Amino acid sequence: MAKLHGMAKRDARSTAIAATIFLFPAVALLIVYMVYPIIDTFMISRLKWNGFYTAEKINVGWENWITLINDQLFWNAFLHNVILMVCSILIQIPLGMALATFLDAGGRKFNLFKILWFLPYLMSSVAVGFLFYYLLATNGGLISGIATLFAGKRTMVDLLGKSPHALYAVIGVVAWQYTPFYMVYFIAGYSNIDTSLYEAAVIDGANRRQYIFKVAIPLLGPIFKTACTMSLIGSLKYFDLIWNMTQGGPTGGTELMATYMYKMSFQKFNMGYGSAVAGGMFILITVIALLFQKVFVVKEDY
Amino acid sequence: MDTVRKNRKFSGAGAAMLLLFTVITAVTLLPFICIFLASFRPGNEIMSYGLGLNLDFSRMNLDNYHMLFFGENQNYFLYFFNSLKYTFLQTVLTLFFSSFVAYGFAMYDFRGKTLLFGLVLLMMTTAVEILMLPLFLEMQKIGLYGSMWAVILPQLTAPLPVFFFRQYLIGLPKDYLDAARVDGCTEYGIFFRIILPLMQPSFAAMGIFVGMNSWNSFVLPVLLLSQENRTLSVFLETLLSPYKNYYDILIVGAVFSVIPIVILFALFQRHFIAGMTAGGIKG
Repeated sequence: MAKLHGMAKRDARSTAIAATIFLFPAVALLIVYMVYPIIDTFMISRLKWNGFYTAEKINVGWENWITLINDQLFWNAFLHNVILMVCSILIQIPLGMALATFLDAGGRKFNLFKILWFLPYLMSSVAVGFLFYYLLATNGGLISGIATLFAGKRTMVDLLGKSPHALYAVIGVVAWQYTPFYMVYFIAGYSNIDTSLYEAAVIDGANRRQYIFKVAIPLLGPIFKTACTMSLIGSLKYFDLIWNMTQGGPTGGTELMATYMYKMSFQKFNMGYGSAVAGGMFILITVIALLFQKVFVVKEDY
Repeated sequence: MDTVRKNRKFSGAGAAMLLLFTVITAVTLLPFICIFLASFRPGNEIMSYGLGLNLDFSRMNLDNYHMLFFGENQNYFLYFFNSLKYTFLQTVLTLFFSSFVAYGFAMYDFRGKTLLFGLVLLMMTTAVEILMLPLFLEMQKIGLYGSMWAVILPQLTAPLPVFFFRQYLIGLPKDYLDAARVDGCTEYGIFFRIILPLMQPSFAAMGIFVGMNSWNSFVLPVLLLSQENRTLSVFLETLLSPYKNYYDILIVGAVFSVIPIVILFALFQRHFIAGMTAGGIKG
């Protein structure tokens, strides 16, 4: 490294100080609200404790972790998360992309649809959960009403009451809520594509369909991968809609890792085991996300 | 000839498109229409009959709305105001701190930068859902439990805004900075006087995004806020209790809770999409 002159040295130092100051909030928040809680999770996971400060904390070593590894309920919840993840990626992203393709082809005259189709994403999960719980009600809910209309006789469709359907009904509701997010994401992706590429394709004799499949979609590749990553992480840590809609029921049929953890910690007040569940969740999500990055995202551009 | 082709196109593909658009719009809007219709019906009916499209005008009235505005349960607007206050504080502070940090990542080179940025992205993975319990304990320990700051502070630098702003800043020509440095502007002066004004389009996009998420935020508020600081979504959740019949307020309350955010989005949707584009959401 070349010797720096006085002036340049001072400049380099002031730049280093500035960089430190700009990054300080991120590092401080990271330590206080991320690193410390994660370490704390693993510490508490070795205790038997009901969460009250006056109560005794008993060190039980790896007992909670051994229970976790053998806990069929936890692995069921994990399986539900994986099903939710696969379905979310297969439904929401292609659908969001298709909607974005329609809206992009229509241009400005479809602006109204852009707003209307985005509405589900604007609603809070509490409201969505409550809304769909009663839309899916067996006695006079919308779905049963439509079924009655088609069947010609009084039909009750019980989507949330029985085990395999309940999970898929919930997945449908999640898709209803989140597809608009990916739609906007892909709309932005489409408008990022230089219009000269479209013109060039048209001059070369391509029609709209050929342009979309041969030019636009390959260019959307990186956006597609980011969308998949977001959907993957989102589905693995999903909590609020399920909590407000089914609380994991019927009898664990829609239980997810996060709802299971919440029940263990804040309803059964078994903080040690709740933390072990959270720790297990952290490990599983990190591993799956890293594997996904390794397999699908070959080159990072940062 | 051109017009003939256009007409034929309309009759075939156009009709199919029209049908498709109608179906998509119906799927999107029907739940909203159902809840809007239900808001004019007695609250306990929804419990026994569910939400449907039954239009029985003889049973429809404005009682629920009357109850919300003039009834004994006046708390709704306290929580509405709490939500406004929380959303405003969270959005402004998150935008500021996220852009501050993103500037550090975009403009300076140093050892371990990629690692640190990777850690910031890890925040996206290890979100509040996993850290519920330790955050709950930590906030009690440091005495913030119950106050709005307990919810605001952990989310000051949100991963998506940091990521997005950094992408946006990398796209800006660095000549601006060198010119400013030559003119004797300090590093902080550059950020406050040059960069912040240049970032306006991306602020609009992320402002809507953060604002929407804060308005609807549920996990941290339900966990950390005391009763008088509750936000609207937490309040609505408490109404879901099966032991008491609050459904009349719940329905109208849910309808009203969507209105501010729909207005915000309708007003700024152009900026939202334009800003997402400008941020170069390459990922």
